[in-house]
Amino acid sequence: MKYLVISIFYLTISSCAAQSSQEIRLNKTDYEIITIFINQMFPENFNLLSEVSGDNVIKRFIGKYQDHLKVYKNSDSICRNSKDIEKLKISCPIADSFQMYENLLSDEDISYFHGTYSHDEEFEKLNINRILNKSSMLVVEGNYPSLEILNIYYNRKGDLGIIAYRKNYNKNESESNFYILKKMKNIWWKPLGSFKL
Amino acid sequence: MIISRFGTPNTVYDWELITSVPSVIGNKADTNRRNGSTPFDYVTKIDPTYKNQATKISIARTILHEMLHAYMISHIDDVNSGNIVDIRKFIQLWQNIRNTTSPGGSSEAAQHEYMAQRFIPPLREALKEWDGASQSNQYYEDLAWGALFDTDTFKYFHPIGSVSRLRIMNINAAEDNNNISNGTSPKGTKC
Amino acid sequence: MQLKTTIIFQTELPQRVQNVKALKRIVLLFTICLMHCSCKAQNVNDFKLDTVDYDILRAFLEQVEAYTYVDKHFFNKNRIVDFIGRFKYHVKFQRNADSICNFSKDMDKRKFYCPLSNNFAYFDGLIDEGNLKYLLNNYDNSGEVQTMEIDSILFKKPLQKHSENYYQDIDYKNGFGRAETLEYPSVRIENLYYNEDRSVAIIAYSIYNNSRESINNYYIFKKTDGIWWKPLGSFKL
Repeated sequence: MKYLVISIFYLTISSCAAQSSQEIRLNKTDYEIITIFINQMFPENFNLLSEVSGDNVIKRFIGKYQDHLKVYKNSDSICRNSKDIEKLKISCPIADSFQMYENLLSDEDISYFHGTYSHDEEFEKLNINRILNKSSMLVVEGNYPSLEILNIYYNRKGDLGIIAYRKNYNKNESESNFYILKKMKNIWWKPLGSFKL
Repeated sequence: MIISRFGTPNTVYDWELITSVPSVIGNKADTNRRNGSTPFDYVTKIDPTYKNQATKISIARTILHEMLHAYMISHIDDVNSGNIVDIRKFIQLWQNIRNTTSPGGSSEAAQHEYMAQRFIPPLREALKEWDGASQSNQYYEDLAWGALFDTDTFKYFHPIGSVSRLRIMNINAAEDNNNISNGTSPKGTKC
Repeated sequence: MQLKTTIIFQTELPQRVQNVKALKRIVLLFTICLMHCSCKAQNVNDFKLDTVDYDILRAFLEQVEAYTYVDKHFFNKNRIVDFIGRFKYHVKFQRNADSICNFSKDMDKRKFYCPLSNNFAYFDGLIDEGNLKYLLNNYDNSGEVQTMEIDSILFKKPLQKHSENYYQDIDYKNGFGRAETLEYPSVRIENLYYNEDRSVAIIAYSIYNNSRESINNYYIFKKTDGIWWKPLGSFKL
């Protein structure tokens, strides 16, 4: 009995040491969408960093989303109403490829994002093997090019996933973006892609 | 396992190997469903000019390569009939099929990528065994890369300008044409 | 023709009236024959790519990977039977995947088939049986190779034109018809098909590479908003 109490006490202490209280644990859904994201975006030789920075980038995401929605609405309007065939030939394909942004987020979603994700967060480290077992991505030892996950967001219903990420080409050159996925039929995550502008 | 798929008596999978001009002129060989669409029935056409010119080991390599195509197409047909038993083995192939969008990103390209990622050591060993291990491992591995020069995996391991890339391409060209290629002589003999 | 008629008039004047009727018939028949031959000739020999064809070729080349070489010839090869076979296979695949996605009770199966069904959804209903028959009836033949206005289709993307040496070197008909000039990969446009109402266009193409493992495939476009050609994709299975 004495040994049991000591063991439980020891186990509790070690698990506390392994994970701080604010650290966000990555769950099955997180790994599912990260794996899809990597398979879609990184068939080549990127070094996946295990640190998830937890940077607060939700405002940047919402701003970019609104810019894309605006482009969609403008080009769709030209596509529907213009009589200039050259304009139509440019605007209609743009409207078509930006159509996914229409009704992607409701006002309620946007308020939810502002309210829920308004500060930096601390994540546990990624278990890279859990992703690479299901991925064709070849990991190169060394620093560059590298892929860093900055944060992961979901809307209130949990049917829209957003991965904030950064591609680092070298010490001075990097590129941040957001990858969007939508849960379909409550079964699978459809990759909608990254922002284009 | 692959041989048993096509060789077991009463198997639903049928693979026929014939000497005939491939559907794409210039190819050494190609493998397709019979009439382009009959599932579980595959035809590999080996180009007669190539067959009359190449060394035996080059032809052996080509047959193995085409057998892998037949195997992968048969897996696609399995999936088409609702059978996903082998899907874990082919997860990368399906990722390639889903992800590629350019006109060059066909199933053949995805199959080549998959071969380059997974089948170089088995191809090397099969060629070595067939040839009685009379040459170095390097030679058999170099031959295994034949027809996979356009894959990202080949470009990654043997980038443009590398010594190994040139060596592999020359060995394959020498055996394919039974001719000296940039100073590299074929080691195999003609049929 | 005119000259010959005049000679007959001069030599057989007594039977003039009868001859005029007969000649009229001959002239008419000859004219019909000429018209018929010229129609045929236009199909096979004088077929010229028009502005819509060039629009689609440009849209296709935008999809091709950068720095690919583009062969200047339009090969006019007969690929329609192969296209129809492969198209039917893809439609069947999509329908099977969709059915499993919607009705299977096995969650793993649904997770596998649902994205595939979604990925290939555009095949379903794109070309119906009537249009497949139309394609077979109208395009089951080969034509003369013609040279495209390559500069007008190669301006949007960094694609490459083959050198003159390449064209001198290559023997398209030979099984070993590879140019010594290492200008690969090279895309060859082999044909262009339309469905009956010209709302779907199909480019039959090949991509020749360095490994003598070249591919044949088809790229499908759909006319959208009545204005532009939306690239749908090529066969993958």
